[in-house]
Amino acid sequence: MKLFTTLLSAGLLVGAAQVSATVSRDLPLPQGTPSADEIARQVYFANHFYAFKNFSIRQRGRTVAVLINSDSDGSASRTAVERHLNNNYENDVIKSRDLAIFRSGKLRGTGMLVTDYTDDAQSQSYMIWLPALRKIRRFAQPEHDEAWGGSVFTFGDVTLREPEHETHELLGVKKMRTCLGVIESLEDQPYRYVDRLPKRSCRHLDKDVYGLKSTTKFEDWWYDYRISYVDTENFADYRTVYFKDGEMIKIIDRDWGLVSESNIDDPRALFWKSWYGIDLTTGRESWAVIPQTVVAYNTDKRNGFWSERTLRRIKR
Amino acid sequence: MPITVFHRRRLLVALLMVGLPATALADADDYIAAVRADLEEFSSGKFTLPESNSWNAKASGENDGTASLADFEDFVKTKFRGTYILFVRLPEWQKNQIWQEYLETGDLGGIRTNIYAARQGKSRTQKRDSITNLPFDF
Repeated sequence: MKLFTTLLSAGLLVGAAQVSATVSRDLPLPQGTPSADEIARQVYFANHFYAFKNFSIRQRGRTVAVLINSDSDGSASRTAVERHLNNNYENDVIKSRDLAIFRSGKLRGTGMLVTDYTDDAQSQSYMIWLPALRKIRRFAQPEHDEAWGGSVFTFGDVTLREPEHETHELLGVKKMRTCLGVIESLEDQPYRYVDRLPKRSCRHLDKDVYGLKSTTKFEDWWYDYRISYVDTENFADYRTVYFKDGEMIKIIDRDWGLVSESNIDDPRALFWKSWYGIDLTTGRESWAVIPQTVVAYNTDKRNGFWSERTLRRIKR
Repeated sequence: MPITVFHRRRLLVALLMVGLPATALADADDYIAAVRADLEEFSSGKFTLPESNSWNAKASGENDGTASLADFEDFVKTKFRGTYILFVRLPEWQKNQIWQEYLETGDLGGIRTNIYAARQGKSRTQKRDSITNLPFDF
């Protein structure tokens, strides 16, 4: 199970292939001032890369995306991962597919293919290629509150939470005032796989953001509500702060880049540059860093790439 | 009951374990305080952060090249001293184009790529391959 949890944790680095019944690739931009529910749907759209036909975080030379987990005692572990997401299915069965390939550590050579179906009643399919066994194993969908292997993010944070799982309230519009978080001890340090870890991002300061309060509909849940900072123009959610019993318990920051030089006439054509999270109850931190040079989108890869065949061909 | 060496060790381990999360959080104290202050603005309408807090770079006067083209020019001068020599020779419209793209993408490596591409007269699609060892400072 731990292996499976760790494998699924790579979901952060590209985004989820999961699809909500209420959000699809043809979701239009809202006209005028959007409601809280509309903002939540737009955030879901951006986080699932629906503006792209396909989206990849590949390996380019020695450069690849890396996920760092830092424990409260300062010890850190890292996992390099390659990801490929495909939203380009025009049939009525498959909605999207998401392929992850691990490039470092004990999981090196392991691959995972997540298939999401158009029929919301049908659960997602998780296929994992285990190189030591040279076999594919299938798993059920994880729980929303299940922590990714070793990270402070939950599967709900990364992939599974949908707009209808919460009630949304608009708190207002204000300026983004603070820089996005990083693991301070690693900030701007040379690091394997990414050459050098980034500095904290302050690019988004003074941008207008919606304050979106989302209260969970689940009973006895690990958080009561969360407040997200959502860009008023492109719906990038830069920050989410979680509360339980009135106390701030977790913060997740995401740095976004806007795709230029493309024919994508959609402000929501965004990509993640990094994710940072801190659990205030334990002091644990996680940081996923995605060098821009490894990001590719709308490539000519055929749909056949997202298949069992590709899993079986992964080199250890 | 006398406290044995064994008990003292257990006590020490327990104290260390209690102290560890506090240590990690202490590192992030400024960040958490900044987030808290940022959040409070939704209810109070005011943002107040101690001057010593480094999580509000603009408040502390750090130039990130986003405020104006002149600021961007200074920013390039600081970040890429060599490339800056090429940048200042570009016509104003090209400088502006590079600045606008930086504002959109936030790609620090892209600044240098774009400046080289502009100097070499390459098209927007060709320039992507002009430099491969891009820095990644964000």
